[in-house]
Amino acid sequence: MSGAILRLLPVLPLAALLGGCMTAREAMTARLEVAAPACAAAPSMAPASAMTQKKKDAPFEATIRFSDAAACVTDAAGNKGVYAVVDLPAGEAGRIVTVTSYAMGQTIFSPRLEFRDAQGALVREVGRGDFMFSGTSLQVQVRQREGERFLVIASDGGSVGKTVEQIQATRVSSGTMVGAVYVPINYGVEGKSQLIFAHNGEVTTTLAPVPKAD
Amino acid sequence: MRRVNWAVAALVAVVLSACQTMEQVPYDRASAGNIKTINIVTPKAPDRPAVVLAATVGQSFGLIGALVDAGMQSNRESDFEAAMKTQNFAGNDAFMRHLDGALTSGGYTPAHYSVTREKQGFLKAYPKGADVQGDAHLDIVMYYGYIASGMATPYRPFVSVNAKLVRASDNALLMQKSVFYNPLNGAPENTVTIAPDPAYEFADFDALTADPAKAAKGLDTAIEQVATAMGTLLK
Repeated sequence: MSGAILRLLPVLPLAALLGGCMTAREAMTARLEVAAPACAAAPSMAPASAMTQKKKDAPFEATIRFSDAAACVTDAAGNKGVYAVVDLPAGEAGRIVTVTSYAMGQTIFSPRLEFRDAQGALVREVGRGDFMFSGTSLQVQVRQREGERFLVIASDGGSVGKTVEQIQATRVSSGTMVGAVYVPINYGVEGKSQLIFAHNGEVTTTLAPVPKAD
Repeated sequence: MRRVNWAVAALVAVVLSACQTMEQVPYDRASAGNIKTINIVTPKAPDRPAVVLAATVGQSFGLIGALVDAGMQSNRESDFEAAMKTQNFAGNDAFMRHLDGALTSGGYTPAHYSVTREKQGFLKAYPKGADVQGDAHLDIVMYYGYIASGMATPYRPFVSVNAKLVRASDNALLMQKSVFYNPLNGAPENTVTIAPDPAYEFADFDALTADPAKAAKGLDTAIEQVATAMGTLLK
């Protein structure tokens, strides 16, 4: 076995452990203002993004990248925010809708949701306070209800510009060869991430059936 | 031996939390039925906080190193348990108190039912009978304590909760979620994570036991935040 491969061996378990859980995304500069001078009072359902499946039986998925070109809407408090609409595929109620806003460097889209019916009428709101962190992502999981056809993902103007700092502890597994013996070496590190809630970022929505209980 | 098992379980829980595989099922209050009273069955939890040093020198020396580590961890936990007793702090009681508060804030009436839990994980069956209150049973598996990722990093509180809510009338699954406060090695997919409060940081184990009031407050704050997150999940 070559020396290069031997040197790689110690980090493979950690890479495997973290590789399946964490995906770093490109950095974006936080956009803290909505560029448009005026925004609509209610979102338009057209055009809505379609959800697709990577393969049969896989969850439906749609990823939206919010940028300066996104349409904007004014919320009940008068705050402006950008929005996009996802067309939820037909199916039985009760499916799990997972909405995840990913950190793009230090920038993270600050989301709120509206479920609307086939005519575009508001059925249910999921506020910014219902989103909680999952690592460095903001996420909410809800069950789709009868009649909910469109999902509006909007930036929450009230929280944009606020920041949060997160501490993340990591146990790193490494090692070295001592003669013919591999000696594992483990050590701990800590990292800090500062996130700023913004009108831009990347949000993925998935729609999946309820899994079997453990 | 039981305490060593809990220590091993806690270490496994925090180290593997990044990729744990429990399916995550959100709650929908509107379709759950008329859930007003939630019966919290006795949570599965250790009787004392874990004090985990996630990366040790002993891990480089096989079984002998593991035995040495287990002994040192047990000693740390005994010392920390004594320190918490000086503060009259019990993590299980704190969790129940905060969870009751979170449920009440959410418009539920909390109830409690005492069960003896021998095995790890969720209960296989839930209590029935005239003495059992509640429209749904909330089953909790919790680990908690302090963790340092290595010898050069500080101790901070950690809490790990797996929660399952089942409807009392037909045992239908209403919710199954995990909440991690200060998880080691990243975020479990679709679970809730809470970053540690930087106010509760202890350079080493001696610093942790030197200020038991602050250590207890740090753990209580962590447990409260996890209970609050549970309340949000049950909105």
